[in-house]
Amino acid sequence: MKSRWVVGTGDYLDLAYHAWTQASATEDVQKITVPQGADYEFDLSIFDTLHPELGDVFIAVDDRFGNFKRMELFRVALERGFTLSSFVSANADVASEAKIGKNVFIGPQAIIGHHCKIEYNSVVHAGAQIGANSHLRASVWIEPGVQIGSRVEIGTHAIIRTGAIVRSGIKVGKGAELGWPQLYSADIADKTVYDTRYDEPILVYGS
Amino acid sequence: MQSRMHPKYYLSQEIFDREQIKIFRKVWLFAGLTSLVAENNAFITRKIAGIPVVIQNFKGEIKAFENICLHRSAPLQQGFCGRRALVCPYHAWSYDATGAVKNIPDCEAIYRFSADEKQSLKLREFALKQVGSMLFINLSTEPMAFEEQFKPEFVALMESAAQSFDTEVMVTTWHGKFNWKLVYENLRDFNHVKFLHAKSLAAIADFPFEAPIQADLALTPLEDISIPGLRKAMRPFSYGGPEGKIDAVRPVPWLNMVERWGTEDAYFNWLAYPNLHIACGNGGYSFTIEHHIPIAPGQTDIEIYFITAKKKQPYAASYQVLLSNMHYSKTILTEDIDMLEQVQSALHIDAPIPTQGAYESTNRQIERWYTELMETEHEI
Amino acid sequence: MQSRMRPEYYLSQEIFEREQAKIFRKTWLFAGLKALIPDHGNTMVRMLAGFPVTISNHYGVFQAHHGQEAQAIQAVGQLLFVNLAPDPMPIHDHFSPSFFSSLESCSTAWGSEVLHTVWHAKFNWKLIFENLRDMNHVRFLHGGNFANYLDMTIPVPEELAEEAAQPLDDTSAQSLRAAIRRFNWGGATPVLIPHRRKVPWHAMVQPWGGEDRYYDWLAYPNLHIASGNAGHSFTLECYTPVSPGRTDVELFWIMARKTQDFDFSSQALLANMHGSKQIVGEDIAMLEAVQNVLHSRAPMPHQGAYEAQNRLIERCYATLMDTESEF
Repeated sequence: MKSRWVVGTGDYLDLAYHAWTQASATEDVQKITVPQGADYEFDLSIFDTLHPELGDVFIAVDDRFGNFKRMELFRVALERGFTLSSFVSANADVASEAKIGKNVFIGPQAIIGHHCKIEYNSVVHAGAQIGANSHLRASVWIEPGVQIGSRVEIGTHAIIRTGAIVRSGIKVGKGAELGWPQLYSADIADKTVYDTRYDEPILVYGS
Repeated sequence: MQSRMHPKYYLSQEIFDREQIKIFRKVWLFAGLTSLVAENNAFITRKIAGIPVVIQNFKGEIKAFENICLHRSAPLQQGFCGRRALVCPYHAWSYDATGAVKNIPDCEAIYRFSADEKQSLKLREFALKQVGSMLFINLSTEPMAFEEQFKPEFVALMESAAQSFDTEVMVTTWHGKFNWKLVYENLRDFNHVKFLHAKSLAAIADFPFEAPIQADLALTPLEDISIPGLRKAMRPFSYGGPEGKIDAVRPVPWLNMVERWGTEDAYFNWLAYPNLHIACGNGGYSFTIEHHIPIAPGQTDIEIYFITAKKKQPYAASYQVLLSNMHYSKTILTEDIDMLEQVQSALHIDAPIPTQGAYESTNRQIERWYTELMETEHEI
Repeated sequence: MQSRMRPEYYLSQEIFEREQAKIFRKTWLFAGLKALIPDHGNTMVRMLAGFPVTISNHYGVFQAHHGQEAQAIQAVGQLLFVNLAPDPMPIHDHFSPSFFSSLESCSTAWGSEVLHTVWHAKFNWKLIFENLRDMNHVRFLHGGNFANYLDMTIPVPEELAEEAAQPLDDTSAQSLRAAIRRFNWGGATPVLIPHRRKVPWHAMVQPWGGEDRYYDWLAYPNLHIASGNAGHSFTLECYTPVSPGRTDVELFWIMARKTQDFDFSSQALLANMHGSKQIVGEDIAMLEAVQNVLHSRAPMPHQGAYEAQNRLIERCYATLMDTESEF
């Protein structure tokens, strides 16, 4: 029996582990927590015990540090030769020709419209709706129940939180965080953060 | 000792208007960062003391003008910052680096301005001063020298720090429901840290302070109330340096990605009177600029810029470093803001006058100067 | 030339109140459409010069009341005008006979279906009129859409330019009334619509005017009417000053009378309204930006010769605000 190592940390690790357990009767699903030090760095030694010929890895780290932490482990696993198959819930409604990248998670009751493209390492949580012809780039995080219209483009590392509605045709810049529960009906610049604790969006200029 | 600060100074619209004219339209004020206007045609817009201002880069030359077209009063530039030639969007009048009208489309055919009239059309220009990557503006027609307002050692240390600022900057604004002066009274008071910020700031930094000698308590009226005298009196109101002791900075990976400013493990603070505060809580790795913009007697916008020291090389997650630092400093600032909003909401015109201790001598000096300006015709 | 319009005219509460008293309670104000109260017993309440005025249909006769007090009311075709002055000027002192009959003619050609909404704009009411009388802004501000299909040239009224540079010597009520009569104009403009998009319903109404032309009317101080599709449908914009920096922009859309019945006319009007929202939205955004940067020491505007009509109005306006002269 091949192994399915669900590797990561936090609540999302738990969620992904249970999803894989329920979904695959033919695999030995194991949960592996990767500890983070005081400097937030991962202890990667656990990877020394995992081998691609014995199973596959699924990386489950939440949106911390703008999804960069999930990306870090994803890269490590890729370098070590794992396939990083995506997880698509049997209860999700995913258009047959939609393209789903490596290490993508698609939760139950999520709806992915026709001709959508969801790039590697992105997470679409339960009940989120992605309209037709939308494009989610790599390492995006979509929270439960988010509604995204058609022809929407979402940049890498973006975070869309519960309560957000993104109107059709909108471009969401890379690294943006749509955390205010509202309708977003204009394009969002890269790295713009709508955080409910703040009075105004947080903006980044220069590089 | 009883303070000089009558509640009306925090509540009255008339006092607010007088402050805007007698202080904010006279002194040097923080206006932005050069990194936001680094390229030709890059601009920032602001409203300072009620006057709309555009700061624009003309082929490397940075100029400040009143942001009102001389034709139909439309703003020449809109939005916090951007990159666009200085052309009015309403009827396309354009202006040059001196503020003079450069071109009016179809001027001959439909405006029929004489050569003299056309030549007389010039935007109001304001004095600018660059300190490291910070910009200061003065709205007065006869601006005082920058050195009249700030001590040389204050400027030197601030400039040194501001030269190390990175070009990537994170910006947001909070809308505080309190009078702008409360913030600064609070910032000059280290005694509140161990109570209000017991679990946050006080846990990582220690701000020693002492009660000064009797002579510093501003018990007598100001002696020299001439213009130079009042300017001289305000110079000590701006100060800065390594004011807080901190534990060793926790090593996180991004610290190695930037060129640290200085080597001293200390909490640096700069207060530039009247409305700028710069904090660096980690000995030169990152800086928070807090710019407090008076909107009304009971309303102050808090514009926050978060910057690290210069990056050694660009890296993709740098904005997330800024964001997590901003979230962290927000927890401390919120404690201050909540308290000051409480103070403001309890203020009324017959409220008791505050009683101050000896340790609050700097506030007392400022209040003596401030009340002189508000209550008399003397000017700076 | 330097304008006569000081920033305080757009900012001061005192000036605002003087305007309400000396202009809005003296002149004939647009007060709605007959089609809104078509039957006996129908009423509507309109805010005019700060007062709620009840307009009612009494067996086909239109009446206006503020409290118990009857106010002067005059129907011009479909349009209703009210004058709140205790001794109202005759409507022909305010509207010239040709303007009056042009309004009457076009509004009589309208259907009875009215689409209505209100925008709350953050600018002084005078800015919108200054903008409407300025054709030069169109190619810059509306370059993206409007300017593409209208062919506009900017007229320079030479004789007015000269006149507007002079002070208004005669400030009698008679002279001021003669002055505002000239501010109201309307009907066919020189602007042609060479590329009117033909949509099916155009063939099902009787267009007014009979030419592929831009029609528009300005009734000082609160009404603008325009037809950008050669008289097939009309937009009415009523401007209600709320405070120095606030103006309600009320929009009515009406079709020319139908020649055959069709049931989608409200959708056709809605499409018209959405189309014009973009253009009016550009105007509103610009005027709000102007209002936002105005302050008591802002520079005075400089006007070109083409703005002579605005200069004439400003001359009259400044006389009313700064002297005891009245209409």
